[in-house]
Amino acid sequence: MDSNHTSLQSTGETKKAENNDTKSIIYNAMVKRNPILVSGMVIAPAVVFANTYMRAVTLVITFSSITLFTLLFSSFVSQRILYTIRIIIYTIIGSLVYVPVAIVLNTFIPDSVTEMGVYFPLLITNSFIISCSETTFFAENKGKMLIDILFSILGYDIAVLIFGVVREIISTGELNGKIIAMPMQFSGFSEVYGGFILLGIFAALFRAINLIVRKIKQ
Amino acid sequence: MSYILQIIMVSFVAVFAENTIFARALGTSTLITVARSRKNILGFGICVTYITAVTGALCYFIDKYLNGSESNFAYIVRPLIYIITLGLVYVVTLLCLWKLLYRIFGRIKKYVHISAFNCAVLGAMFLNSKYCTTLAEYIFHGIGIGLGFVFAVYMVVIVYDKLYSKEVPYCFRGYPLLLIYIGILSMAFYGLMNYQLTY
Amino acid sequence: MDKIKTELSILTDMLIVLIILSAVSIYYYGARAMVILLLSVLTCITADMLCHRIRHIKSEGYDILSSFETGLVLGLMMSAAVPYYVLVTADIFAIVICKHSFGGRGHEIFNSAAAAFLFASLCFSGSMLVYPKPFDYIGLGSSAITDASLFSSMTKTFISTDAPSASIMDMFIGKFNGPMGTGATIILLISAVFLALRRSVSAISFFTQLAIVAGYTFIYSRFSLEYTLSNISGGMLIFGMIFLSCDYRTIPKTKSSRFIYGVIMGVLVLVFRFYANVENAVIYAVIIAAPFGIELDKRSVSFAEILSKEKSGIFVKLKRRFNKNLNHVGETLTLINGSDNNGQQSHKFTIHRRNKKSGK
Repeated sequence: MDSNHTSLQSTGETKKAENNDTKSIIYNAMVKRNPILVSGMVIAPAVVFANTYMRAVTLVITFSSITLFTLLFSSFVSQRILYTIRIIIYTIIGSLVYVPVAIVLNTFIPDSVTEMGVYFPLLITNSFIISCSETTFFAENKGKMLIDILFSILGYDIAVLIFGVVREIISTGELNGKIIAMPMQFSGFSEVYGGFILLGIFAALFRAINLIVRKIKQ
Repeated sequence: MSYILQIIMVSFVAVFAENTIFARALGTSTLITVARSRKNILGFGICVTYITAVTGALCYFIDKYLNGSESNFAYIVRPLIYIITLGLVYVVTLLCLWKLLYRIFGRIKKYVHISAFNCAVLGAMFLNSKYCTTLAEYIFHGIGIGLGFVFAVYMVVIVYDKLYSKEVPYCFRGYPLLLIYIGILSMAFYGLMNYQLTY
Repeated sequence: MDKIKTELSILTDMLIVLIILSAVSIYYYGARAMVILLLSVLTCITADMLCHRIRHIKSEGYDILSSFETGLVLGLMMSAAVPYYVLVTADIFAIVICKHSFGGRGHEIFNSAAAAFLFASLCFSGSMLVYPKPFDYIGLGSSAITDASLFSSMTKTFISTDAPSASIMDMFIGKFNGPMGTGATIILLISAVFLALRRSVSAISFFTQLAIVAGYTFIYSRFSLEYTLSNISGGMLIFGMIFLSCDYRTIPKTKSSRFIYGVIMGVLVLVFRFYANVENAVIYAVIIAAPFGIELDKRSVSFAEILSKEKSGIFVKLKRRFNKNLNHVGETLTLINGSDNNGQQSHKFTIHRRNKKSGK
């Protein structure tokens, strides 16, 4: 705010600092505490439901719309209200957001939504809305919060899409109906236990890649 | 007699074969938070089981009303009604605890907080309405899901320090290994049910 | 010096028995059995060495022996007509996911061979759980999918029809459809006694499990020997009890916890066999019982710590007798688990016991 009145040099510096700040927020949101690969949030639908590419896309659409709007609306809830009441208000906002989302998705992609079963309404109580909103998102000011929320959701979406694609290829040997030449198929990876094991391997690989990147940078 | 056996069977299936974590992965993030300490298990277990049982009973009446009304939009308002019910149970429980057990309220409070709003509890309500028909089934299925969740937490707590020990390679330490551990156990529990789960 | 020798002796004892079983399986199934066993062992050792390379840890002789044992056990549990890629997948899963991601030798939670077999059998159930008849030598290149002369195992037909399909003599010598090296009941029983006498396998744990399963089946079948025997010899039950559940790397360390572990194992086998009707019940039971084994170890160690403060009473004496650390295996494991949290506790415990003895 004060930078308008000071010299050119300092404005440059503050801009640079702000840029760095945004960069670090994006880096934190997508890599350092990636929702699914590092922090372990919203695992259930990814492990159980997202075993093909199309299902991963469905999950991404439903999750992103519900979480984004719920967090945006609930950021206006006063922080002075008692914690107990606040959580209830968040989830009620979530279930209100669910109504239009469910109507819209049911008109456009009814089959995928029916496939998702109970995991669709259960997105209302995901950890983004219940716990992460309190600890990270709403502690920041509005602009930073928006960036943080957007990129956290984006980080989750990218991870789930890659997860779904890899899972479909190694479990069925196909990708969205097209046959990909694979020497063998591990049908187990499309089940719940396979999802857990594959997600664990993904998380470990993600850590390994981060480690290698950090070493190269140094 | 056969009716009682059937009810016991329902809760047994909910605890072991269709375990919330090992077969459905509901509430895994809550499990990661709770499993940090062995002390949490008892308080958490009592709270979760209590809440799933009470909400299961309330679910029965809600479902009776919702299924009776012939509207096409029951699936849209169902989550809202469930959430409000859950919120009411949560608040009433806290108020009762505050009035009756003021001395240990401070210690119990945090378990109620964790156990009320998580995927396992809300999932229990949805699964109740899918699988159960009578009031007793609703209640015992709810209790089964709560106990199953606690059982899963216990299975993780047992080996928690092994999963986080220094001997584990850095890339696998903690969260990734936890997932693999749950996955391998889930494989074994998968053998208990000879059918595909619907959800 | 003593400690190193015991681990070596356990492994060699195990390997002697396993090699005898391999000879039996080669006798029954011909050259393909030998190729399967060799391939399995080679894959395990190579994967283990590669993992050591990646983790920057020096590979010892015991690591090679240990993975040799895992490879042989996995190979013997397979069907003689198993496709080679299934076998290689199982071996890699055992070494990489079940062993090295948990911290390597001595830090596994689950028995790696059991977990890998379970994973492979769930993934490739169509090509893995079908078996050729003994002496029906099949070609080296053929795989389960293309071959027509394959049958489901004796255990599976037994589960569906509830009547044994082989004679008592055949069941004793292992001449029935089933995994390659796990059918020869008489050899397995003799080797179990041999291993128990050599203290390479915990006698208390093994015989508890066996007694529970055999006793229940005997009573359930109204004292029919044939029924009981076909239940025990099929489904790799005795093999699994010796090499998977009583494996020295994952079994609890004190006597009382080994007894309780055996009871848990027996009950779980019965549950999986009679309630869930799965073919290889012992594999599932081993996986679920493994975390309880760790828990039992912690409990009994803390019992001992409480008891060290009290000094008299029959109850205390009884508990002290049961919590006695088993001389060889327990100390070996404390050495392996050295810096582990759990290991530290038991290490303290052993030192404490030694001091007490010297004090006396």
